[in-house]
Amino acid sequence: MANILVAHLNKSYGKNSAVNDLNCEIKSQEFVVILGPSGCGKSTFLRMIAGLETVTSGEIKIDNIIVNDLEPRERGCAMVFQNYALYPHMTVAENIGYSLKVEGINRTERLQRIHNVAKIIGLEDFLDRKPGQLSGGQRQRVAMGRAIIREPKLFLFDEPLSNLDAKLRVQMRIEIRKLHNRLNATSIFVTHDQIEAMTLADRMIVMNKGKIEQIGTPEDIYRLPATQFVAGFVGSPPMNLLKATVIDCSTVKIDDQLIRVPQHDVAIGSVVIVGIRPEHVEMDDNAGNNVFSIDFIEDMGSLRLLHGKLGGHDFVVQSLSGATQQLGQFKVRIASDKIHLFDVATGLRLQI
Amino acid sequence: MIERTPYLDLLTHAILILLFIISVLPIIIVFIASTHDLPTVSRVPMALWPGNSFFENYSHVWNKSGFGPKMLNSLIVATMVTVGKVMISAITAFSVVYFNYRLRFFFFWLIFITLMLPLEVRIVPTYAVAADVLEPFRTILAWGGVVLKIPEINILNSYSGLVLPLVATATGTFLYRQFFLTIPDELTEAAKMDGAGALRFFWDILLPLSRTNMAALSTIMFVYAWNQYLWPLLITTDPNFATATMQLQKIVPGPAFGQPPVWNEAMAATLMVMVPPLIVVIIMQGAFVRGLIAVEK
Repeated sequence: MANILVAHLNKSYGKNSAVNDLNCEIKSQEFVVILGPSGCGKSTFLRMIAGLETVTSGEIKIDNIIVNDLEPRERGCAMVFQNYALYPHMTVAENIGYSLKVEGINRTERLQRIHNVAKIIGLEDFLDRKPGQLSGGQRQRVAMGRAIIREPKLFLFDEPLSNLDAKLRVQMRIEIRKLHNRLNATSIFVTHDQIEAMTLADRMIVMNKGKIEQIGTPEDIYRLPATQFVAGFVGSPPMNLLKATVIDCSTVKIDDQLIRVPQHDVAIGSVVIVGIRPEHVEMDDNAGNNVFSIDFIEDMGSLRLLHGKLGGHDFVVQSLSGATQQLGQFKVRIASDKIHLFDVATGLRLQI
Repeated sequence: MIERTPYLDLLTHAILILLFIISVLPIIIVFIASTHDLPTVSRVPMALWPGNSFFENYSHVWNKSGFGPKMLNSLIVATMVTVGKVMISAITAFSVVYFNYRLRFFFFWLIFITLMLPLEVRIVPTYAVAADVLEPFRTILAWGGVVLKIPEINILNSYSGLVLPLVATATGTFLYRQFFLTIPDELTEAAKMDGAGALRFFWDILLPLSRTNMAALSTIMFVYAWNQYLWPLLITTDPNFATATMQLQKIVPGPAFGQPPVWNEAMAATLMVMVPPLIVVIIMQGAFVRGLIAVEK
C-alpha cells in the first residue's frame, strides 16, 4: 500500500554508471516486474529502493517521502533474496520472527504472528527445523514468510525464483502472485526471465544498460515494443529482426524478398530494422508471397519452431504441431499489420 | 576414496603405531618416575614399572611445593587470556570486515603486522610498557612539545600484566576475519532489512555462526597462555603471582645447593601441570577441528 516515485535516479561506481536517469511511478497495490538481461542495473535499482545501495543522484519517494537517506528498516519494505539469505543457525520460526524480535515485540504476540504467517506459507509443521533441513522450495517460502510477517508497505523480490527447478518455479510464481493479491501490497519483482515477467506483472519495466527501455503492461510491451531491444528481449521464441531497405511507404525489401509493412514515412531507399514475430508467419502454399527455406525443426509438443532462412537471413517460424513439415523451401504469408519497424541507429520504433 | 590395499593398510598402521609409541614413551617414563621414591628414581638404569610412592609424591608437590595456588594462578591467567582474546578478536575482525572507514586498511595491516612480532621478539619494549603503561603517550606528547604530568601506572606483578600482552596479538583477529569473509553479503543485507543494527547483527548472527571458530581459538589460546614461561618469569617477582610453569623450574634444582634434583617430584609436578590443557583439548577437540577446517554450510 505504497506508491513509489523515482525521479532522475543515477548510480555510478567511480566512472562506471550502473543506473542512468531512471524515472518511473509505481502505484499502490501494483505488481511491477523489472525485466532485463544480467548486468542491466535492475538489481541495483531494486537495492536502491530497499536502501541497500546509496543513491548517487536523483530521488526515490515512498508515499511522498524522500527515502534517499533513510535506513532500510525505516522505509517499510521487505525483501526476498535470490539465495534466500536465511540465518542458518536459527529455526524456521526464529528466522520468520527475527524482525519482530528486533522490533522488541513480546513473545506471545510474536509466536501468534509467526503461526499466522506459517499458515499462509504452508510451513506450520516445519517451524522447528533449521534451514539446512529444508528443500529449496521450502526455504523460498521461509524467505517469503520473513518478508510477510512485517506487514510491509512494499515487497521487493530480487530474482527469488532463479534458484528453483523449472516445475517449482512455475508453482512459486503462482503463489507469489496469489499472495500479492491477498495482502494488497505493492510489489516490485526483479527477473531476467521474460515468462516470469509476463505472467506476474501488472506493469513491466524493461531495462537495458542501466536505462529504462519501456514501461507498460505485458500486453503493451508484447504488442508494441518501443525499441528494438524490447522487441528482441520479450517474447519466446524471440522476434525475428532483419535489416531491410525501404521501397515505398508500405513495402520493404529483404535481399530478394518484398514484404508489405504498415504505413510509415521513412525515406525511400533508407535502411530499417523489420521485426516479425514467429507466430505471425504462416505456411501458405497458395497465397504466400515470400519464400522460407526450413533447415531445422524443433518440436516443443504444443507447437513447432521451424528454423531456416528468409532471403539469406536466419528466420524462425512458429507453427502448430499438427501439420507435418519437412525441410525444404516453402511459401509463407507474413501478417503485414503485425510487423514492427525500428530505426537502425537509435533502435526506436518507427511507425505510430 | 575407497581402495582395497591390505598390505598398504598394514604398513600404514605399523608406522602409526610406531610413531604413537615414540611420542607417548617419554610421557610414560615421566609417569613411572613420578611414582617412585628418590633413591629408586636416581638408580641407573631406572625402573620401568610404576612404584608405590604415587600419592606421597603428588601430595607433597601439591602441598609443600605450593603448586595449588600456582595452578590457580595459571588457571586465572589462561582463562582471562582466552576470554579476552576471543572477545577482542571478534570485535576487531568485525570492524575490519564490516565497516568502511578511511583508515581501515591501515588498521588491518597494523594488526596483521603483529603476527610477525611474537611476544618473545618485542619482549623488551613490552616490558618497558608494562613497567609504565602511559609512557608511550608521554613520549608522543613530548614529541609534540607538550609536557603533561601523567601518572605512572605499572602492571608488573599483577594479573593484568600477565594477561594483557598475551591478549594483544593478531592471531585471533585473523582467524575471525577469514571466517567473516565467508559469510555471504546477503545475510548481512537480510539482517539490515529485518531492522537489525550493526551490534545486533554482530550479537545475533555473527557470534552464533562463529561458535566453532570460537572453540578453536579458545583451545589454542588456553594452551598458549598456560604454557607461557618467559613472560611470567620476567614480569612477576612476587611469588603470589607465580604461575605453574614458573614453579616447575623452581623444583628441578635440589632442595639445597649441591644436592641432586628431586626427580620424582619434578616429574609428578610436570604431569600435574600438563593436565588442565589436556582436559581443555579433550573437551574442545571436536569443535576445534571443525573450526579450523570447515565452514558450516
